[in-house]
Amino acid sequence: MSIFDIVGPEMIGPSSSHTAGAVNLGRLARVIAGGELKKVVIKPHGSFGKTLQGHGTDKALVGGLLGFEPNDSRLRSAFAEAKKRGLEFEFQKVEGRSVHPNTVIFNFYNDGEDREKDGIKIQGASIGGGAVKITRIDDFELEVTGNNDSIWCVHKNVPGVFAHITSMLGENDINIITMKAVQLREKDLGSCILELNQPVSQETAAELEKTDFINFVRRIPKL
Amino acid sequence: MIYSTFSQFLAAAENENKELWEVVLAREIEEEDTDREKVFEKLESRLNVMEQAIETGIENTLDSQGGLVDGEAARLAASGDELGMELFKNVNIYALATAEVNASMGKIIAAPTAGASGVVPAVILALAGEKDIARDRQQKALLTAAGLGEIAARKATVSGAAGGCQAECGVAAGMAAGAGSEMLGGRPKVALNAFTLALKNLLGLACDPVGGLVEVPCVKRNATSASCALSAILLAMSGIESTIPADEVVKAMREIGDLMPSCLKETAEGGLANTETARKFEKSLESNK
Repeated sequence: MSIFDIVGPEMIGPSSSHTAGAVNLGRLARVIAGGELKKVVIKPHGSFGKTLQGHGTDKALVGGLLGFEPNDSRLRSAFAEAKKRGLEFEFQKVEGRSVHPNTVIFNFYNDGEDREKDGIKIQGASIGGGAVKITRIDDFELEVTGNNDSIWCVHKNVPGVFAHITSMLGENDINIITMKAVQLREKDLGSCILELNQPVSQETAAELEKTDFINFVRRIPKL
Repeated sequence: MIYSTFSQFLAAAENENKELWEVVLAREIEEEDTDREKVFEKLESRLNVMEQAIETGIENTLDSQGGLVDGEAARLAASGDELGMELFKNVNIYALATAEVNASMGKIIAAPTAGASGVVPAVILALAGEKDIARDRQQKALLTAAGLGEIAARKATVSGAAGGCQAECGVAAGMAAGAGSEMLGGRPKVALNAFTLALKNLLGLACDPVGGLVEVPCVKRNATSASCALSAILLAMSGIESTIPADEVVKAMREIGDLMPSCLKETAEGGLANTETARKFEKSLESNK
């Protein structure tokens, strides 16, 4: 543990898990959803729903979706900033069963390049001290913490897909720290998150996408 | 690992005739792969944010999220010095100011948490102002504070949800007391005694915030916890020691935190949060939505 985890982080109050963590969930969801966001329904669960206004969790979630960091003074006026940038949002409190008390689901309806129609659903939790964990992207149960630079790939279930991804990363001198992959057999889709020791360049990501069994690659920078 | 317990921490300083901040710095450089210059740059930037928060809090330009606190720091700053103790008054103003800024979605440095963020800066900065202490000594004090808090976090917890407010305001008071004593010239043993005396006094403190907001009792408790740190500094600097050593006090804190029912650990279900007034406030908050 660094001493700057004890005297720190520098953050907008009042709560590391309900404010700073909420910002971080918004930031991760933003990059996973990709592109400038148009419309989102935000569904806070349990303790997150309870402290929505009191801990500024609502503003923190929206601020994170705008790409603000936990120490950004504009978080106080995140709603006005969202309006300025044309991000439509609404909150719907929900009670999920057997999920972490600080859980939120983002339902995006955007017109990004990859998902013109229904958008994307992202679920995550604030797990303490500002640390977070994305636990689900659409139907894929995956984990993104933002502790390291990562990539998220969606691909067809064909032999050799991981060999392709890992060898291309290797050729670019990128080391894989962790990797988790899941399959949706009925849709013939697979998805994986790779945590890396350094960011993947836009060129490398584009190169990976060129293969026809890879639907897309999204780069998720370290928080 | 240079040290993992308070007794090893103290021994590391005494064996090499170092101050506590030097031992913390050596560990940070070794474990975090950083260098002295970077560490001090970060310390300075943290101190700047702390000063800015105090200033903002005294100006009282922000409204708290729940509306339960409003302008306490400004009111105290505008009042007379009833006790004839300017330092004591400033410590209280600074702690209130930071805690109010935190409750108002302003920028603070968690130390060790956001809820207890007023205590450490209040003691270090008010003492530094009173005694005209150079900036580098203030930076070193912050290092000592962080080093003490880090061991407490590792051996027990600094989360109110896990250990009650003793883990937040209690540890913050200990960090402030240790840092303040060393900044005034106290030897490592004196600083560790100050840490222990302050924390010991706040053992058992519940985390029972009204409406689940970081406002009542949190904001005023930052001021009283900082006052407790001043008292611990005074005692330790005179040579008064804690009968129970720091490692055992932190172990006791952990035990108390484990025994504490969850209604007193940041769930807003028991204690002050369950008083008539608190429940009335919650209802009014609900109807304002």
